[in-house]
Amino acid sequence: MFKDLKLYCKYIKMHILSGLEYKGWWMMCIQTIFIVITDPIAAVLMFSRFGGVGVWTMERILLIYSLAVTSFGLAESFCRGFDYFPWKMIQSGDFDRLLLRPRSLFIQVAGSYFHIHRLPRVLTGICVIIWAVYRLHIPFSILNLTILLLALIGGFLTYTGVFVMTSGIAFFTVKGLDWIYIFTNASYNVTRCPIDYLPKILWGVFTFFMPMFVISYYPAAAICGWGEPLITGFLALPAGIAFLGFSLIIWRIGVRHYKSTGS
Amino acid sequence: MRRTLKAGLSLFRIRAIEGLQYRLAALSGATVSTFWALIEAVILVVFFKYGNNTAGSINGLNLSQGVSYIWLGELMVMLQIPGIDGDLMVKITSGDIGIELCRPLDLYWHWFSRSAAGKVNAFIIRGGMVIACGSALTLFGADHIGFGLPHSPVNFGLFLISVFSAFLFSTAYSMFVTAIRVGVAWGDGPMYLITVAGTVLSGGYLPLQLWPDSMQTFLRIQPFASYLDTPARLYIGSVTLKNGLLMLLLQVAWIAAFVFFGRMIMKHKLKAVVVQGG
Amino acid sequence: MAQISLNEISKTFKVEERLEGKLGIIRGALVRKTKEIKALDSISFEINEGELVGYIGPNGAGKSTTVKVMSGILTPESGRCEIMGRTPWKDRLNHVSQIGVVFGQRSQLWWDVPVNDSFDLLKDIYDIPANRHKERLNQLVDTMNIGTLLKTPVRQLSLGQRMCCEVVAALLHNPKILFLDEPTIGLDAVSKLALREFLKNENKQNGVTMILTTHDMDDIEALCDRVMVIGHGKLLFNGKLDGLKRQFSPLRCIHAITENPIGETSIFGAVKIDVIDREWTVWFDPVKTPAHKIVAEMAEKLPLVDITIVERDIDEMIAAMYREMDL
Repeated sequence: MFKDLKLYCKYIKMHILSGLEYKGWWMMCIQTIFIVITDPIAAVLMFSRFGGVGVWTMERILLIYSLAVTSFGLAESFCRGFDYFPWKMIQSGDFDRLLLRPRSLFIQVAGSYFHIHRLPRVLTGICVIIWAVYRLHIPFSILNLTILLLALIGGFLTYTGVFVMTSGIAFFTVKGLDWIYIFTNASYNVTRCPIDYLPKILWGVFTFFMPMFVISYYPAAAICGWGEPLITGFLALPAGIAFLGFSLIIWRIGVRHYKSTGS
Repeated sequence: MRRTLKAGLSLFRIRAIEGLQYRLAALSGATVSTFWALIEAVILVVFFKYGNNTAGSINGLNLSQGVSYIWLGELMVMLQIPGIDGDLMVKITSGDIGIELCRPLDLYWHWFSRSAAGKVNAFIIRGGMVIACGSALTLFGADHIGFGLPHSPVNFGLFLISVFSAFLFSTAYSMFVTAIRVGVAWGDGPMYLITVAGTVLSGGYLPLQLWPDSMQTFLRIQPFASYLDTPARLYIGSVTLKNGLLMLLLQVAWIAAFVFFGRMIMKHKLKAVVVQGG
Repeated sequence: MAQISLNEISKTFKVEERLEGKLGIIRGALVRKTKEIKALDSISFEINEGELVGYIGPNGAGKSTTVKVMSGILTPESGRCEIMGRTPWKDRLNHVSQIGVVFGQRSQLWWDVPVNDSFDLLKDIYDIPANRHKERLNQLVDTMNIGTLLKTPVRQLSLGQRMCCEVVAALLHNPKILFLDEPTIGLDAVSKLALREFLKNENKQNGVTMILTTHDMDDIEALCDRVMVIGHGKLLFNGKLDGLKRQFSPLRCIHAITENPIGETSIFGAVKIDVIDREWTVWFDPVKTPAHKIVAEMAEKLPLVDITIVERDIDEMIAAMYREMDL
């Protein structure tokens, strides 16, 4: 287990070094920051025009939103290998090479891609979280920080799960995979809608299937006291583990299918 | 010129047929677009109805118009991607442009028709599916978040003309970006930024009328309004006919501008390519 | 006990068929037709430790599929396979740590980093102790003579250089079996010879079993004492290369030039004689009549100016074999 992590770190180091050699890396960071800003721009402009929706101020929504985005950014940074997997590895046949190495496939795929320009999203996300908590006059107590940390870890596991699931399904079909976008980039946009007004079905999908709200809204509610039971704020980590576990099953099924049909 | 036209049309046809085969991809893509439209529509409804500073109509846009605008956004965004046609990208990065120059066709129009063909498929198939879903929602009673009818037959006619213009504009703009990209070594970053900026300014993230009032004039004359805002406003009828016609003219003007500059840049770049050996 | 043994291995693939014509394409958008292809049809063979076996067959015959089954990345639908006491696809981690695979057209090295970094990563992947790795690396680098390439990023290497590094990479962890899938494809003459030398030595000195898939018959001639031929998924020949030659190219040929034109004369042992002016071409069966006897006979009967015993053109032989076997 530790040997695998050591290997993963080596992969990351290698990618960082070769990534920095590429002259445009700072440009790519700027590009990421640009995206990070334009994503919620619609929400920000809406709030500036309409003021707010009931008790839902911009700070509240941004807190929930940035928790989701930061988790997504973390998964994107450290496990994006899975997201690129279908298009890079399966189509080029490089997955065979991974099967020929006496190492966990998961670590190999997770470590297959890393680029430093994904990190600005995480950093900006954390900044916005801190800003929103401050603006909402919530103290940075040990309890609150723990909840936030658990939320981010759980979120990281959840979004990693989405990427893993994408790869698992990619073994069966690559072309018809776009809908997974709903659970990646589109998912954190759902937080822009004040949860009280959200159609129940969306709330259900993003709480019980892909626990996006469990890792963003409920922890935020717990530290801000928005009327949800305190325990729900701690569910982020278990939800993340559960979802990742489920995704790994799909991944394994995919690998088995690949091994019986070849490339 | 005639040869180029003919070649362009048959290229168009071949790519269009190719596109038919990716039915799964289209369906899957359409699902995503529908989802986006629904989310945006729900958010718009929530803000309009329950917002603290709510208003019936903002800069000429009321709620039901806004919702239709959003659905149209998902349709028109199909024209905006890819910024540069994938095949052409490969040719540029691998330096195969020399081969292209060997063909007895005007390179600009040749690539133009290629790009155009590339966009048509996604537009018709995936875009069509999204509009169908939106319309289905309206038909089956969820009309507060569904795609509405055009404001009037005249508006619809103008809308269609504007869509065709938008199609030409997006191709001209892609060609412009492609021309800049030729011979540039530092990667695709800036291109992607420009594409996103274009989408934002076209109203794809938020209907332009909802942007701050101070920006309204700027937003109406900038080129990217041609992508979505102009056809959308014609469809939903939030402009007077006179203003609508002016907007159409503006669209055409931008098309001409980008074609002109695109050709100029391309000529310049290709000369350099030939000199350096490609 | 054979190191590698396959028993009645079969593998069928489903392939989609594209329908023709305009209507076909539209129909194809709604319905798909699939075809079954039997890539491997009850393949059985055994390979002992230390053998160097060539595996040939026309394109699409099933060579790569067999290699994939043996390396454990493809699961056959029926049959048994045992390699070093394990079933490859069932015991992946243990199995792959003992084998090395070289794909001629795909590189396992990391593209953007120096060769040495790739080797270093492989050391971690295969869990090779540092001193053993260093020793082995130095040995391989010296033998393959790639010392100057170690700091170069892989993307800047030529194909020949890359192949040499590939082979080193595959042997770093001292595998007992090495699979090579078209390793000499695209290489220049010098690189090919160097690679063959290296493989031969590695096989002799370290007893590494090697299975070589190739289209280049010179590779087979230079390296393999044993050859297997596969066609349409079936194993069609399994034995010594000489045996293959004798079966499919039984006749050998002698060219001679005489001082002056002589009419056809019978030569004892000749199966067929062609005479054009002063040039003679004589075919004979080397099993029945050894070459030197024919030469002696011709020297006695003809005023020879020049005489050449022609080597069998193995490519022609293989082509003839494929034709005869209907491949």
